[in-house]
Amino acid sequence: MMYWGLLALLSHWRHAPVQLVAIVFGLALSTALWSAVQAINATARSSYATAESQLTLFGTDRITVADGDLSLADYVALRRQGWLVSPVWEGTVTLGGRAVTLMAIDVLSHPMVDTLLNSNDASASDTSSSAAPKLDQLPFFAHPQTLDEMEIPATRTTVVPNLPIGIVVTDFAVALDLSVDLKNLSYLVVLQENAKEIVALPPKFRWAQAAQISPGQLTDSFHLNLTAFGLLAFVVGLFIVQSTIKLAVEQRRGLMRTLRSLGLTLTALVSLCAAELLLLALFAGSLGLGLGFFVAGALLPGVNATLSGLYGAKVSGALSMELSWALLGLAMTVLGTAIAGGSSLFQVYRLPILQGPATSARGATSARMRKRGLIVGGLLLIVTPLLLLVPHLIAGFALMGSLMLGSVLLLPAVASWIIGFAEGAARPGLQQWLWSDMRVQLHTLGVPLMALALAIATNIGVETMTSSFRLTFIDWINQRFAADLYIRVDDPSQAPAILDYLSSQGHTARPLRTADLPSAAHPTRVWGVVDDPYYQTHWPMVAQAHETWPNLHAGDGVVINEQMARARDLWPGDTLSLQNIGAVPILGAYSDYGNPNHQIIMSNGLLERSSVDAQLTNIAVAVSDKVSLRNALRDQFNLDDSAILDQPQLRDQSLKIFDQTFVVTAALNVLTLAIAGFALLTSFAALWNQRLPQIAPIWAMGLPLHQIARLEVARSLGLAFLTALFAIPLGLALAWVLLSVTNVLAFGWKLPLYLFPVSWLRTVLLALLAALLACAPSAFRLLRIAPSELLKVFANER
Amino acid sequence: MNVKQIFTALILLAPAITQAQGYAGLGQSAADGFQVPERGTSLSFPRDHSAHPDFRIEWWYLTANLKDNDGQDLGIQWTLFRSASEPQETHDWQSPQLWLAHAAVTTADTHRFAEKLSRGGIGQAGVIATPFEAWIDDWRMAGTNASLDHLSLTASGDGFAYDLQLRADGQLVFHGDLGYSVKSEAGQASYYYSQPHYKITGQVTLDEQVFDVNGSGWLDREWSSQPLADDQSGWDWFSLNFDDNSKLMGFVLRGASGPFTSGSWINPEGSVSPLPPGAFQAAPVAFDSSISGDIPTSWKVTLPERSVDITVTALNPDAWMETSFSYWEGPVKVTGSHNGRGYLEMTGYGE
Repeated sequence: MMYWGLLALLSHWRHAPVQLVAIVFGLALSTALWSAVQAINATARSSYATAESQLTLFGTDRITVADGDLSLADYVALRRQGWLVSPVWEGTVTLGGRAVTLMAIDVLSHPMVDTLLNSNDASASDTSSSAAPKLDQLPFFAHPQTLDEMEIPATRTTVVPNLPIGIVVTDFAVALDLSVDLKNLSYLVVLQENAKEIVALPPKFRWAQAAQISPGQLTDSFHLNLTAFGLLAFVVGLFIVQSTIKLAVEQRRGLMRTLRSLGLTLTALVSLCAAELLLLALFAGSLGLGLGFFVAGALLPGVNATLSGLYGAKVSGALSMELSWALLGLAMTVLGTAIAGGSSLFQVYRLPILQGPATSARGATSARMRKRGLIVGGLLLIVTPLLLLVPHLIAGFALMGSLMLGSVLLLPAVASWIIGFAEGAARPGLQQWLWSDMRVQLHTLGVPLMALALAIATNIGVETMTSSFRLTFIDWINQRFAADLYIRVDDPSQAPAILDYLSSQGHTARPLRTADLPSAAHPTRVWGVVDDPYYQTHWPMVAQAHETWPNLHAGDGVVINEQMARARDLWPGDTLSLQNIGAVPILGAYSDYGNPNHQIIMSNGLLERSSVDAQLTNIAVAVSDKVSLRNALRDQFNLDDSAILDQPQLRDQSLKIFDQTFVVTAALNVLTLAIAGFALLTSFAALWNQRLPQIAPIWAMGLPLHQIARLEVARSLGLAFLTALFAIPLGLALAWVLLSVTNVLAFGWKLPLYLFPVSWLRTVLLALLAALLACAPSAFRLLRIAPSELLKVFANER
Repeated sequence: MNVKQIFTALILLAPAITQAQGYAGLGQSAADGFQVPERGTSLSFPRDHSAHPDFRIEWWYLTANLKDNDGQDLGIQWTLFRSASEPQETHDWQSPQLWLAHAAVTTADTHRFAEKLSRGGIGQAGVIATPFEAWIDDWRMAGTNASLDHLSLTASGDGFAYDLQLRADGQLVFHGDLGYSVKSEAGQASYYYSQPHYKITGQVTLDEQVFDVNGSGWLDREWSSQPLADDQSGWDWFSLNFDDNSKLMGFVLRGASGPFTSGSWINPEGSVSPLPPGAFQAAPVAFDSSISGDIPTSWKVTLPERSVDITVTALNPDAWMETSFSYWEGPVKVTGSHNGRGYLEMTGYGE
């Protein structure tokens, strides 16, 4: 009985292949989108790690010798005093027929070892011999491009995309074989675990603190948001599936009644329906996983995938099909199907055996549903602002969910109200029929339109978020790296000579002095700056008083970073108490994304008064011919390579990596819309049979078919446009929640919201295009329909 | 386990990946020109207090049972391991000698430990005989002369530090056949001697609280190129100080062909009797560790020829050394026919 019952249920799909395709495709697409976002998320993470490690490669605290050479004995002496430091030697060597910057490290202690080995597990585990691996057999680590230009056997190299181009890293034991003179070390990296207060640094040594650069927090926030995007995209898919499953159940009411009358128990029927759904979910889910993998692979401009292919290395974060990832995707699909099909299964459970087909009741049901949607949506929207009061990340996500769901649930009611209003204002006749027909269609098109609204809003929200994020990042990175060259001054006695040299060469230099506040509860760094118009023009502020920079340069106040402003609630007009000086007015707060620490900028004069041990640590130079200045500085002052940073190059590389992800996000946006368009298409297709009885009388009254078809198209576009208008503010609200609520809750700082009206226009046009494509088959069929088909409507009525 | 740890483990223990080769790679065959221990070789001091680079592995292993002024028990561990990829030493970055050290402080409810890693050849870690000094970074076990009679011992890590003075109250003890200690039926062996007679005073800092401590300590010196048979997967090693001043060292090497046990009995006067294989017996009676369910935290230990029938119980069942290769190491209490304290090391569990 079960077997025949299942066969009977499944036979429905033979008659309604479009529905089957709609369900399978809807589920597959939403799984695909979800899993593609997952895959891209993972890859993006590694891209950010790349960007970050490039920025932080030189960004650790280091110890040098104030006057003279740093020897291996110095390193060992510090180690034996308890200092957790790691030696580094840097120099230019000829390797594999090319001059490269060689960085010799101690793999047993250098903090970069994790990154190096992460990139390629193969080399580390390739120790099949019975003896412990030998340090002088370790590989050369370098960026693939660096390796391409060198002639070194692949067995001796390991690809590390995180390394800057032109740098080769290896262990001291390997470097020793290159007959380079390792006697004098370049510097010692201070490990994070080092407890600085325990042992005093002998006076011979100098501790240079690293610039505090880390986009780590920025990327974390971005991933949080991308994950939210993935979920929303999945929900859009579920909307489609829900409407189609509902239709399929409705159309099989007769069949189910017959099965029940034949003696199939209710439990058996519901189980069969559930089994059918599970089969569909598993099939479509697998399809979607493959599709998602393909989509992600096609979207990513192949950097990681290429690396895997070319070098046979499993690069961390590269696109690879992993079981856990696939299982999670499938579980999501099954769960989503259960949610989407739940109400339909419940309907089956409550199916009255004897009640006849009541098509008219469907209208009533639909009105009831709309009313229910209105109530639920209204309730959700009432709860939404209350969630703002709960300072917890979960509440932030709940806020996002309730805002989106609450709003789209209101969509049919709002649309019905607007159309009703238009209907009242319309002239009797064709115009009025058009509006009223549109309102009737809302009953069936409600769910796909909600999906469309959700898709458009998600698109606008996520695009606003990612674009704002990108602008923020560019601003931030420009602020940090505005100069062409940064010279790190490890030995302050060298600074005057370098400054003299720069001014003799006609370069504008901005020396930066720093000191760390010893007494602050939160790590706080103070920067002393010189009077330079650069700050007035370039420094991005979130809040400022009148004449901020002139006052600052005059020593009449300080500016602080946003983290400090928010954490201590200090804004222009407030004062800050500084040691040796007393209260100074706060002139402004500047954005300083990604920096976990507090920061104060003041004039050099003020810094000298407040802190005795401020050091000149950096000189920024604006210069056109970077290469020759770099070489000149290196020769003149014996600065090691990492002391002169060509930051624009690093910045461009980092931005390029970020941009790849944004291209991907844009493409995902289009896909989400395509899914919503597909939902509309299937709904139009499903509507076809119901439409004929409404169109036939109009046709019979003499309206030509081509005009009816045009009206069909106009109506579809009108509904889509109405939905888009509704969705734009919703999308902006979503972006605001992402940037100003979840971000603040997660990381303690806001990302500014930038508006991009052009992208809204593009999204709306895309939505209209989707609607056009969705109604095109129906309109086309109308044009070609035989009059007898339309006449049959009247025959059937009789 | 982070990448660094994996890397560390790989460097030191690359061959240990398969269980067949024994715990921590100690079961690999002696080849590549490494020396193997030979029966009848007489140990010579101070030379043999120092490192033997032509043997594959070696350790200086000190454990101590201490009490603070309130009578609370605590144990400390200080271990320096040497592992060589070639039977030689060079005095530069290419040294094939790798040094690894573990230090720990264990009380009934706290267990703090740390690990250090260095290569040989550059002076960051090593052992010299005259005056005796074993060190890695600022961890140090150093004597005032070429003997091991007076030592100072320091180590520190996250949440702990200690600075102890050790004074030997007796002679060195040679295990097995005058220091030639057999480790399997197949004849694998190591050179093995101990100084089990230390009296200790000093200070232990635990979570920024400083305790004055005193107690007794036991130093093990062992080196070999292949101390375990291929099928041996781990060991349970006991060093016990009884209240009547007699001492017992016993170990169980667990293998596919059954356990191999051996040990030494040290009478109160300090004379030592090697125990024949099988004489020393130890059987787990309780598994209370929250680290893993297979870690025995209480043992029934018997040595019929000395009328020893005791229960050995961990002071802290969670004294797990979550280091590059992980194992259990901690102080124990002894009750039964003999009462006392001691140390227990168990490897090859919790995998």
